[in-house]
Amino acid sequence: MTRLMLEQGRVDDFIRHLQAQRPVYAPRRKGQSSYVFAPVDDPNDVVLDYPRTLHSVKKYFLPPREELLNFNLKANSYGQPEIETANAIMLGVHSYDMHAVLRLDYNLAKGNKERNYFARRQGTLFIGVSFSPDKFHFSGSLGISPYDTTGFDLFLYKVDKGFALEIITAMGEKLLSGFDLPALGVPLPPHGEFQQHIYVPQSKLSEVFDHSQENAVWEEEAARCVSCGTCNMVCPTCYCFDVEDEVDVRVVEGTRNRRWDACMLRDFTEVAGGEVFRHKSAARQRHRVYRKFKYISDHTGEPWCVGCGRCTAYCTANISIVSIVNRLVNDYEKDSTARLPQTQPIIDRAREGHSDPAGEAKDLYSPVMAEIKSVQQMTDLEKLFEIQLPDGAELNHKPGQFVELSLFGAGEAPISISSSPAKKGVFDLGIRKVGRLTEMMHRLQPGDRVGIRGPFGNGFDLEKLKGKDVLIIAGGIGLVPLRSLINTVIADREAYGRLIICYGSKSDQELLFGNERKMWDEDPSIEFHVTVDRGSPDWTGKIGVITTLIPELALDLERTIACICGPPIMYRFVLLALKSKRFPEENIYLSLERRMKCGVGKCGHCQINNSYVCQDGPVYHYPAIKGLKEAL
Amino acid sequence: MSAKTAQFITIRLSRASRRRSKMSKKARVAIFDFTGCEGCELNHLNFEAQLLDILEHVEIVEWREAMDEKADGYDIAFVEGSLSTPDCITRIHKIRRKAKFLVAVGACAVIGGVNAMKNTRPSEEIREEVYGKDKYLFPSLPALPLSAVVKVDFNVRGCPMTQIEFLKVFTALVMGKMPVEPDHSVCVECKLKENECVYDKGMICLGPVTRAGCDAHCPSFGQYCYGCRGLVSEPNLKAMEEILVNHGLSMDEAHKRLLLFNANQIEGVTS
Ligand SMILES: Cc1cc2nc3c(=O)[nH]c(=O)nc-3n(C[C@H](O)[C@H](O)[C@H](O)COP(=O)(O)OP(=O)(O)OC[C@H]3O[C@@H](n4cnc5c(N)ncnc54)[C@H](O)[C@@H]3O)c2cc1C
Ligand code: SF4
Ligand code: SF4
Ligand code: SF4
Ligand code: SF4
Ligand code: FES
Repeated sequence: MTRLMLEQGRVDDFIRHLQAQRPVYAPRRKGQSSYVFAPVDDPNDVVLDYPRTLHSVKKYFLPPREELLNFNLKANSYGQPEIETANAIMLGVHSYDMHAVLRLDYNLAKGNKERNYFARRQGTLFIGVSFSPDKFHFSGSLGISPYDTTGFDLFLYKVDKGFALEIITAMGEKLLSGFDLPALGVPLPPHGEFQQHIYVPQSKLSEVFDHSQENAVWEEEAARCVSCGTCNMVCPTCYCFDVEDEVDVRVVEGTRNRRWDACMLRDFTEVAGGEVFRHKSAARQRHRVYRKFKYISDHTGEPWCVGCGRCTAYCTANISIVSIVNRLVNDYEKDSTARLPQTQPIIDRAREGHSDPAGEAKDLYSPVMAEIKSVQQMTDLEKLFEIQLPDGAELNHKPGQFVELSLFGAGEAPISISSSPAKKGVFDLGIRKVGRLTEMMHRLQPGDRVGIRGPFGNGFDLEKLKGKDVLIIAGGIGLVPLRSLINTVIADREAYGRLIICYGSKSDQELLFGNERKMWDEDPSIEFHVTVDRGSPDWTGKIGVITTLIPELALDLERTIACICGPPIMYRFVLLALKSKRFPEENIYLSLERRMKCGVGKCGHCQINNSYVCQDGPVYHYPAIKGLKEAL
Repeated sequence: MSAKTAQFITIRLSRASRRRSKMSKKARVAIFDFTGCEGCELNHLNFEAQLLDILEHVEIVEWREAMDEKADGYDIAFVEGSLSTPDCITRIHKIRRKAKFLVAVGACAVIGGVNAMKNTRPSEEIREEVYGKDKYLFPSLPALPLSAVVKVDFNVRGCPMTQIEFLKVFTALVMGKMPVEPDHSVCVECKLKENECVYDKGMICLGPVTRAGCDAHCPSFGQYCYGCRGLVSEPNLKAMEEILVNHGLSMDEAHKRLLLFNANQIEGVTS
């Protein structure tokens, strides 16, 4: 290991040497007692001995605010801003922040590799610097020492009279060429001691978290938390974002922008209609901490908190993530009689590896412009649109999948594909008017163009349904996605057993798909049951909530598969009704709704525990989510 | 903004109709003024640069100077100021009847506000002065936000509201789209800008429970947020008071600090 001596007096020269090659970013002072990474102009401004920066270097790869698209409303067209590869040198990065970058690499590559992030991050060189742990750092407990050189090209160890410089990669060596330094004659001094610790080996954490969903600490900390979101905003491994369209005052041009978002905020999971899926502050605190120590860690074998201490240092309520974790550890050990499912200790798990530099980064957020072929008013609130992709392309979806529908100026919304894949040339979207985008969509006419991304999500697994009796339970607008499945079964009728449809709606005026309902009703191969909560005077059918249909059904429990979709409140009651019929749980599939922004597993809004509804759902096998908090 | 409040406007200026832009398609806009500090008055904002663009989409049928409400009806009524006399109450009902969409403009109209703020961005001295005088905390005449009396379709918050924000709301309405009203803390915007938190300078700040939208205006200038935009939904006020107390205020001071702009919301007059 070659270590060279960089005397304090030569640091400025060293920085100038770097600047001659590439732009250099390094920490500098901000305000009274803070530090930030900033482009280096004068080497004198650089501070290499600092506790932590407000934001990590993440801000250069995943900027706090970023324009995804720019559009023109008149032409109904869009372009993308050019993304510049930073090609820079990040000087003076602490080891935990480097580890955080590697974790972001993983998240932004997993499933769909995001172009924007990787375009910026590519080719960045990192020069680390050791740090002296202060009262907030605890990266040591997570296996990240102040001397950890993982990910760096060069590393600076603070020593007496300057820095010991270590060359880590060939790129690092190249950076140094032409800048001669003497070899370091003495061994490295030990690094500073950590003052904060998690009192359990990393390998135990996964197990502790298996037992901590119900811990009282979540409520206790929630009582002190103001849900300000700061702990997310400063975290180097947080990457959730929100997207919003903005339009100029002439109402001609606009941009689609994203900004960092925070799962500690109440509105993070709020959907049109006011439902908030993690309403309690305690549930949000739990989600944040589980994301750092359990959900992603179970996939990768590594904690997703790097111990930078920012969330604690910047929380005005003094809520400490280390105290929370230690409390969980303590309570778990006290409660050692607890017999819960055994999980493997995380340290033994295979690492999936961090980034996937070989994989091709994709432009994930650009829609294709499709044409509305027809519009049909179904009810006061719902319209059915037929959409055609350019050049007659097929969507190639599965029943249960959705698209992100995009209208410039209004934004995007996840909308289920309502037609079966058997319908060629166009596909159907049934849309309820509830908010910005859906309102605007309702004003469009045949010939107008809309943006489409997708199809996304898993959809129903038809192989599991073939040869079985299919029981459809649809509440309200839940019929829209299930119609795709129903028509798939009808198009290949022999492949399935009975087709039983239970459909409930608030009132008869709100019943959807009038023509098709008539066909289903008249088709002898379909058992079709409808009920409404309130009927108008001329309604002759059943009155009552959807669960009243279930007891009367004569089902072959062994060979019936139930597929359920409806408003959040409906699931609990339908599941109870099925349970009282002794309907086997493993034969139940549910399609869930969540707030969604990206559809591609990046923005974090749709997450239920460690599952992304936009990727792993929206269709779930009931046994897989039954025990999950927040799922149903 | 939940769907419950998302009552949509009927100014239909779809892209197609705008292309064929006829005078009659323009949205009819009226502007009214009640008790306020005049800090939010629309005519005090420097709109010259945008005025022509604005007038391409709207026809201003009534302006605050015309104190009696003459026009038959308006697509959008922008209303400034809080309600503090019986006459105000009669007038606001009348405006509401004629307006398809009613927008409360500025802190006074939205949350009752502190009816003593000056036109400029309040400087440190003005705020110290304000905080020192209880009469501003508890004005003798209760200053009611519009929503305490009539249904308000949208709020443009802030004391004073900013031109940027007003134009954003305006543009959204012209597009026939409900503007976005953030429902998260000022801290989020403050952190997006990587500001040093004023708590780290020994100051206290209401940013954690105050509704964003001003781009963390005050902390960005090294000052604290005094909550002029109102509170987020379901704020944890107990926790906020505890923070203030832990940073040196007495319980009583902490409570008063919160009430400054949000007395009406905290006392349950507005939501
Ligand atoms: C998998 C899936 C399938 C869906 N399929 C359909 C369908 O077939 N037909 C239909 O009418 N509706 C469907 N929805 C609901 C639909 O996405 C929302 O009604 C829509 O996003 C509301 O957008 P808005 O701009 O009109 O409302 P606003 O209230 O103005 O929405 C603002 C923002 O909040 C978010 N948001 C609000 N509500 C929802 C929501 N329910 N789900 C996800 N994000 C939300 C969006 O990001 C949106 O941009 C589906 C939702 C999901 C998750
Ligand atoms: S920073 Fe503190 S108060 Fe704010 S959301 Fe996080 S834990 Fe709660
Ligand atoms: S959770 Fe807190 S300590 Fe851990 S990496 Fe994020 S900000 Fe740092
Ligand atoms: S200065 Fe105020 S708004 Fe900004 S982070 Fe601190 S508490 Fe929040
Ligand atoms: S920072 Fe606070 S006081 Fe200042 S403008 Fe924003 S909401 Fe109002
Ligand atoms: S992660 Fe963005 S919608 Fe699922």
